Amino acid sequence: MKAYLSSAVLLAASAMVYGNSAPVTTNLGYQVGLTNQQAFDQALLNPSTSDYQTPAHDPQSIQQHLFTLGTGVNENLGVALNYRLGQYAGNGVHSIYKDVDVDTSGTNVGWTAQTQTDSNDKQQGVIRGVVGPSQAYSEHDVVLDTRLYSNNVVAGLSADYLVNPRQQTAGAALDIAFDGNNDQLVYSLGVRYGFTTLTSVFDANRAKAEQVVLSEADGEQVHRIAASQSLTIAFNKNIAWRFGAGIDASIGYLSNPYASFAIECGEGCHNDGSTETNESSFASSDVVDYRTELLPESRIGWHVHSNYRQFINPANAALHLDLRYVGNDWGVQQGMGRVAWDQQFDIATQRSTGILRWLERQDTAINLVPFARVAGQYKAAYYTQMTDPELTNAINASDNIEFAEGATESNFPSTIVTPDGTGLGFSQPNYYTSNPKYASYLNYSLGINTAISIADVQLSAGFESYTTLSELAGQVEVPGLTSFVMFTGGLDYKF
Amino acid sequence: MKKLVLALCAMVSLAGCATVQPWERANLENEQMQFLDLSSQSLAEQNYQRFEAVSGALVGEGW
Repeated sequence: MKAYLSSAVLLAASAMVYGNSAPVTTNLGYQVGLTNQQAFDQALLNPSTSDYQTPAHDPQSIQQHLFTLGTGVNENLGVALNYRLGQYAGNGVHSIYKDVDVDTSGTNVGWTAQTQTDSNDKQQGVIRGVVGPSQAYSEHDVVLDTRLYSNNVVAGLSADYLVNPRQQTAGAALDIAFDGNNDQLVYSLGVRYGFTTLTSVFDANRAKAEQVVLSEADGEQVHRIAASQSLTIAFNKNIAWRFGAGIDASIGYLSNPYASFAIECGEGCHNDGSTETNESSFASSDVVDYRTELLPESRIGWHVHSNYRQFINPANAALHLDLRYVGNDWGVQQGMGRVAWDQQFDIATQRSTGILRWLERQDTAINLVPFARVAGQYKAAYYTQMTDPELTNAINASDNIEFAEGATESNFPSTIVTPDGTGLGFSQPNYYTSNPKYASYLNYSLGINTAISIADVQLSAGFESYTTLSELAGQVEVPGLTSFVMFTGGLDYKF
Repeated sequence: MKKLVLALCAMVSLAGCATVQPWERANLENEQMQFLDLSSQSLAEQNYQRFEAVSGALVGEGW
C-alpha cells in the first residue's frame, strides 16, 4: 500500500547536491522501532459513563524491524531493497453493532432508534460486534526501488508488497525528477504515478467465521498521481534553504479496508432486538455489507514546505527548521513545525596509542540531535464520533452481544454508525469516518536521536515522546487519539 | 529550464546572496545538513502516518 509513498533511501540527500549520480557505496542497514501507545482511557471507552463512542483503534504495542540494502550498480543506476517486519500486539478497540435494520436484499444496513417498528421489508435486530480486546499479528512489507541517474534527471521505479492477516497489497510507482542547478540554486520538478491493489485476507483474530468475514475491500485499487517542485538556495557556504510545493490526486478505494466488513448473520441474529435466536427471520441472502468508514473515492491534496539549514562552524553543529502545511479537499488541514540541532563531536586526542587514538584514526564522530515537533490538524468534513444518544448507555447483556474472550461488558466501546448518515448532520451525508486520524488535534513530540560513526559502521539510537492534546479549536475530546513513546535503534554498514 | 534557473539565480543574486565556490561547499554537503527523510521507510515517519491524516499525502516531498 505504500509503494507510491516510498522514496526509498536513495532519495535522501544533503542540502545541496550538484549533479546526480548513484551511490558509490553499498549500504546495509537495520533499524528497530519500539512504540508503546498510551493506555486507553477506559472511562471514555465505557458507553455507560460517556456519551462518546469509540472508533477502531490500533493495538498498543508496535515493534518494527527494517532491513535495508542499497547500492550503486554503476554511476547511473542505483538499487535498494527494503524489508520491514511489523509486529502489533495489545488491546485493539473495534466495534459493536447494535439494533441494526437489514433489508431483505441483504445490501442495506441502517441504524435505527430502538423504538422503530419493523416493516415488511426491514427487520430490526442485533448483529454481534467485531471486537478484539487483545490481538497480536505480524506484517511484512517489501519494497524494491531502482533509480536511474543522469546529470539533470533522476527516474525511479519501485514495487511494494505488503501482507498482514487483514489484507495484502501490491503496488508500483514510477517517478521522474528534473533539476537544474548552478552554483547557488537547485530547482527540482518531480512527478509520480503509483497504484495499489488490495486483497482481503480473512482475519481470524478479529472475527468469528460464521459471523464476520472481510470481503468488501477485495480487489480494490488506488491510483495516485503527484507533482511537486522545490527550489534549494545556497545563501552562502553555511546556509541552505529549500522551498517546495506540490499537489497530488488519489482515485480509488480510500477508506480504511479494516473498517469494511461483510457480516453474515448466523446464529445469534435477532429479528426484533430480543435475545431470541431467529435465524429464519432473515432472508436467504443474509450476508450484509457493513462499513464503519466510507470515504470518497477521490481526494486532491496540496502541500507547501520550507526547510532551513544552517551550519554553525564554531559549534560543529547544524540547525534545522522545517515548516509544512498540508491540506486536501476532504477538509483536512495540517500545519507542522520541527526544529532540530545536529551536534557533532569528533574524536581527537594527543595520545599516540590507546582506544581514543584508534577511534580518531577511524574518523569517529558522535552526533546528538535533539528535536521538537508540533503538529495541528483541523478535521475532515466527514469525521464524526458517531454518537447516537438513543443507544448510549443501552448496551447490556440482554442484547446478547458476544464478548470476545477476556473482554468484559464494561470495557466495550460502541461505535454507532449510519451508512447513509441519516440524522447525524453530516455535511456530506454519504461519507463518514470515525478514524481519529481524521479528527482535529494538536500534538507535540520531544526526542533525541544519537549516532556514533566508526569508519564504515554507524550505530544509532533514538527516543521520541509523542503527546496528543485532544482539544483543538473548540473540538471535543476524541478518545481514539493516542500518545506514544518510541525507541529506535539502528546499525548501518557501508562498504 | 535553463532560463528559469538563470532567472531564479538573478533573483537570488539581487537578494544579496554570495556565490558559493566549489571549494566552499563542504558544509552544505555535510550529512548534518541533510533534509528530512519523509519517505515511508523512516520508522518515525511511519508512526506519523499511522496517527495523522495527511502525512501520506506528501508524495514527492524531498525531491
